[in-house]
Amino acid sequence: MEFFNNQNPHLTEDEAELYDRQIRLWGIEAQQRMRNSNILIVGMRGLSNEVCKNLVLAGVGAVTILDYQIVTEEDFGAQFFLRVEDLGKNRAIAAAVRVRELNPRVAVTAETDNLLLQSEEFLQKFDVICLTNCDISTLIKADNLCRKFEKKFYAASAHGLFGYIFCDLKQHEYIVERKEIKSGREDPEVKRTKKYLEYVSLGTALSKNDWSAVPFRKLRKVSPLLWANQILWKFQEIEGRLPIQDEDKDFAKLKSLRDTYLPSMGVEPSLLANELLSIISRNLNAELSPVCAIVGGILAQDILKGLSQKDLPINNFFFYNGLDGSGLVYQVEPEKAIF
Amino acid sequence: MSRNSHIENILGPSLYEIVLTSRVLVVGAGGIGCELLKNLVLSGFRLIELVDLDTIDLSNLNRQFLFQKQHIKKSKAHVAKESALKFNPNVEIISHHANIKDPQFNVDWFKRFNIVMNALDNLEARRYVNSMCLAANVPLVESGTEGYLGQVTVIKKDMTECYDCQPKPMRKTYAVCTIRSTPISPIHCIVWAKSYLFSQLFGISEEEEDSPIQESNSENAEEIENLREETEALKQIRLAMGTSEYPRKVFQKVFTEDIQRLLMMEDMWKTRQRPVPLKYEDLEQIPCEGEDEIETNDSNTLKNQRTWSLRENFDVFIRSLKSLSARLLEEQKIKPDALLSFDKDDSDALNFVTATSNLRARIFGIEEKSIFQVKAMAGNIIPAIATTNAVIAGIIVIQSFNILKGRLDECKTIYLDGVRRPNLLPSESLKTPNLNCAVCRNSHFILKINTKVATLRDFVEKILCNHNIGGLDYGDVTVEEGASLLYDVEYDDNLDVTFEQLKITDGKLIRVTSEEDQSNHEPAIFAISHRESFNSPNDWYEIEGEVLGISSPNTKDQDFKPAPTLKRKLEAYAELEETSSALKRVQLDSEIIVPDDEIIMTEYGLDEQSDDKSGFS
Repeated sequence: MEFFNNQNPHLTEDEAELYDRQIRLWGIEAQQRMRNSNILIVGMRGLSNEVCKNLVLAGVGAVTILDYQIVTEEDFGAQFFLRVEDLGKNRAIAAAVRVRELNPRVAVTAETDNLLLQSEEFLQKFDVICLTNCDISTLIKADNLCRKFEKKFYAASAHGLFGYIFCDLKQHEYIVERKEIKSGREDPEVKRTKKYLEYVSLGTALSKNDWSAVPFRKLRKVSPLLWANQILWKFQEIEGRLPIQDEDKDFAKLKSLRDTYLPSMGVEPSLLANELLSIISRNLNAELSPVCAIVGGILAQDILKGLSQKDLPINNFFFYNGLDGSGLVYQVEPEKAIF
Repeated sequence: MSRNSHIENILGPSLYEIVLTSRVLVVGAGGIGCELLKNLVLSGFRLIELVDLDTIDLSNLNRQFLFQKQHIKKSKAHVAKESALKFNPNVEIISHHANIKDPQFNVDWFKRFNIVMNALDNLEARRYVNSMCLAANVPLVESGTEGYLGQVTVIKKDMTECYDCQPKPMRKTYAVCTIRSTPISPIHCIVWAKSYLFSQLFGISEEEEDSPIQESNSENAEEIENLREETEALKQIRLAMGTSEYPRKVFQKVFTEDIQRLLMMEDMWKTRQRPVPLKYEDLEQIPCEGEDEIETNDSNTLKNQRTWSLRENFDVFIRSLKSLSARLLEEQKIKPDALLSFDKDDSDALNFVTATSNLRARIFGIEEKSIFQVKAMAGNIIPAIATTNAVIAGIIVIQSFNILKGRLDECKTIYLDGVRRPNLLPSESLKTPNLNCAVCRNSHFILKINTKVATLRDFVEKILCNHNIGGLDYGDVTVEEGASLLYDVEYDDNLDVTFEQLKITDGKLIRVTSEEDQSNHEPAIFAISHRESFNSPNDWYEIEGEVLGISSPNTKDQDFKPAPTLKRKLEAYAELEETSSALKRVQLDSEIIVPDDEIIMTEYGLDEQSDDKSGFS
């Protein structure tokens, strides 16, 4: 087993053979950067199963999986790293066994103490921190810590037919390669351009209240999941939990939040219809494998882009809507256009 | 609470019930297939069949996550099944290590499925599955990935475009003079090395259909003649294979004499850089570098990504030529007509092509390539990663839910390219069939017949001509299978040959075009299903398909399906009116509403025989 802190910082011949098909896509340099990276994944449910799988197959240096909960029957529904005999075990420990089998070259660690998320010493080790299925206050705290230590921060969740991703990559430099076909030669020339993005924190993004500056015809087309997400987080902030399915009082609260909170941001409440709000706020705890696969695939690829500093990453929100199949990216930032 | 509690809540009880009882076919257990199988097994599906002819290779392991190192060389389909069962043992998975074109997978076999999902990587197989799904009238979810790009679409007979409705890009071909006389790019040298030199010395002749080297009439006739002579001369030299003089002879022919001959064509080099022939003796005298010296200091560069020196190319040429020659001669001892074919994972073959391609490039002043680069170009390698396949497989399943609950109008063609903003998953409505499509604009029938006994005459004279199928009086016909003409009015040699002898067996499709008044008669496609016996001793065939209400003593009652009358047909359309505009286009744009005596019928859930769960309920 080769651990990520092994002597040779460069790709070995064996690794080149294993990763051949992806090296041909993103190049040796990008592969090298991935190989030398350390990633923390918080929460090990269906979505993180997908993210872990994708990152480990890609050959990142090390992955730490943090989850304090134990495996229940429903977990088998969307988590392919679990086996029947794992019932009652800690989710991270159980899954880590199979994650290692996927690629023995990646150092995989399981942690079960949620308090670690508040430990600066713990978080310092990582290059990327990704929180899944976490509540809004945890997300905000973690993001602020990441900013303090210049770590790349991702938050994501998949529930029912929906999912979101949020990225805070601080100051991010990356290159874009374009193939230009010069006349006379059949081989295209590769042109590299350096680019730079500046991200805002989750707190700052959610404080955007100048939505009325966006022309209504554009605002109308924005995914209603953007509004729904904000309302659910607001609910969570106030009530300390997510709304309970089929609980009329909770749904009434959601609606009233929509009708007061959205306008305070400059958003017409009618942009989030009752029916959609109802569908979205059901199954908040339930994951569906194909949705995890779609959101997890896009999230993992974005993490890899961030690590390799190649190609345009998500800036800063992504919403997947399984009802219409759309996957939309918006830049949610005060005083900035959304796309 | 159970493992499926969340799934049932999300899908809702009625879709969940449909998913539990649907039988799905996954064609391919590679990049998309592994991800797809995982999704299906975790989405409530319980009856899954999986077909793949391939075995596992190391280069698969960066994305085909159901396989690990210990599975290399084993069957993809079988290992995928075993791995999936580990995380959900409550699923029935039938795995086939076989080619989807095998006769066991005939049209009746396809009909057993509620939905077919392709997870393929080649045009030929996609075409085949497309035809079978049209013949069996089963919805097909088609998909593909390449690097960061991917797409998913849905194919449903008579409702959407089929795979062949739009022409697919042809394989890249090169003019013979570019390859043999005036190369400009590295790829020309590689194609020369692989499809000319390698083929001439070890393998298939270049007259093979799928050679990328194409002759055209506009080429210089004199030059074509010269090239033919050159090829002949090389064939003569091949007789010296195995002798110690062989490498020198081959080298001198292709890298010295042939180039000197080209230089004599003054006109050719008026505007082009003149090639410089190589001399065997000169290269022999170049000092050999030791292994250590030629390792670069830049450890960022892997061994196979370094371009070789002239001496290295020379050495590898000789070494690989000797290896390949020895291997071929060995094989010819057992089988005199043995040949070697190029395989990118055969290191001798790859070394040979790389070395000879670089020597040629050196002659013509073209950039030389590393073995890593040559492997991709000669081996048609498509870069592939896990994430693209994961996203596409997820989308396939989401689309399947729509199909299974009868909402074809909610299906779309969806793309993934990662660069677009704001929509990472742009989509398009499904298109209606191309009216000129030779593949899907046919009446589809299933012909159950004893292929060992029935002759073509039986088919043409007793089934087609005397029996009104669908109200069409076929009269004079043309009968074809694939690209072969079986019968027409002027070609009746095959009439008394049996189906089996004509190789028309399970899995084959025969196309019948009526010679009479073409504009009113659609061609018909008969999918063959071999049967040895029928329910009644007097019967010798059965036909399923769009049959109008005319019975015949030759068909069993229960196979006879009275086609909906025109009135019922219009009722079906009326139902459709309520669904979305995508479907409306089916009626309006595609001129499916036709005069009474036409039989263009689709099964709008009025057909009780087929388990068409994709009807509009």
